[in-house]
Amino acid sequence: MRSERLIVDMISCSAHGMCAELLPERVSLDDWGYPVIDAAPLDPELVGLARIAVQSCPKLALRLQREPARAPARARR
Amino acid sequence: MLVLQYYVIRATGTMTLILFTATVTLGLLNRSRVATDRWPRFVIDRIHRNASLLAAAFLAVHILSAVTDSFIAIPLTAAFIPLVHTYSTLGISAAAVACDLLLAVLISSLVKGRLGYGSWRAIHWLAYAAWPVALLHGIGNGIDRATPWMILIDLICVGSVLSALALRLLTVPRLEAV
Ligand code: HEM
Ligand code: SF4
Repeated sequence: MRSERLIVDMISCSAHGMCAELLPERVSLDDWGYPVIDAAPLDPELVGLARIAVQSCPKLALRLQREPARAPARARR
Repeated sequence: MLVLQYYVIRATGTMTLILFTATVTLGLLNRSRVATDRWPRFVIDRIHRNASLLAAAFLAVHILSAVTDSFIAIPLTAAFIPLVHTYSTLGISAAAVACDLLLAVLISSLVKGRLGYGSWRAIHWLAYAAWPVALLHGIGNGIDRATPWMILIDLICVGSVLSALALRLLTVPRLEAV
């Protein structure tokens, strides 16, 4: 099982706000229009919507980061 | 059958122009951050993308019907390389230039994630060059160019792009200055 979380590259982001329009469940905007992102792993029903938000970011600043839900057994010891 | 094919060439050429114009206009509007509650920016962005794909589909049929027409006998190479065909050389050369530029814009957008923002953006500017060239091709080649409805379509297309361009030139420097 892998989970995915949203990350934003603040250097590339230019506050277009498309992500907050598309995924208000996880993205809100600060007073300057820059996104504030809930970085908790995405619920499965949000992953599809998150992917659309990532594709729509005009600056390619928004990304989905995949990571193991639990650290694999080998890595833990 | 030849007659039908001629209708297809003209109809798909006109549809390509209309869809291409809509694509450019929406791209400009989105860049100016035009949006309302009923037309949020992601809607404008999606229509911009989908209109461009539809335009590409119509362009493909337009080219196929043009190069398979035995009467005007345009070789397939003429759709991509300027000056290889002597039937209305200027008009078909303009078509080839527009087609090449659009291919670059289309392909770069499909692999935008791999290309990176800077290179993609630089290539995407070519769309601005392709649009007037495509318009001139239609005015130069089209058998319908002198009909009132085609003149009306051309005028609406020019008006649409020019007003969106004016808006962009007025708004974007102000957005960027913040
Ligand atoms: C780049 C995008 C293109 C657009 C927007 C476009 C648009 C148009 C338009 C508006 C017309 C006039 C239709 C009419 O008057 O009813 C036309 C005609 C035509 N186009 Fe294109 N075109 C494009 C590319 C091409 C290419 C690459 C070829 C190369 C084979 C081509 C070949 C023709 C031909 C043969 C005609 C008919 C000329 C005639 O009526 O005698 N076009 N096109
Ligand atoms: S869509 Fe992209 S550029 Fe716009 S605010 Fe979100 S992350 Fe930033």
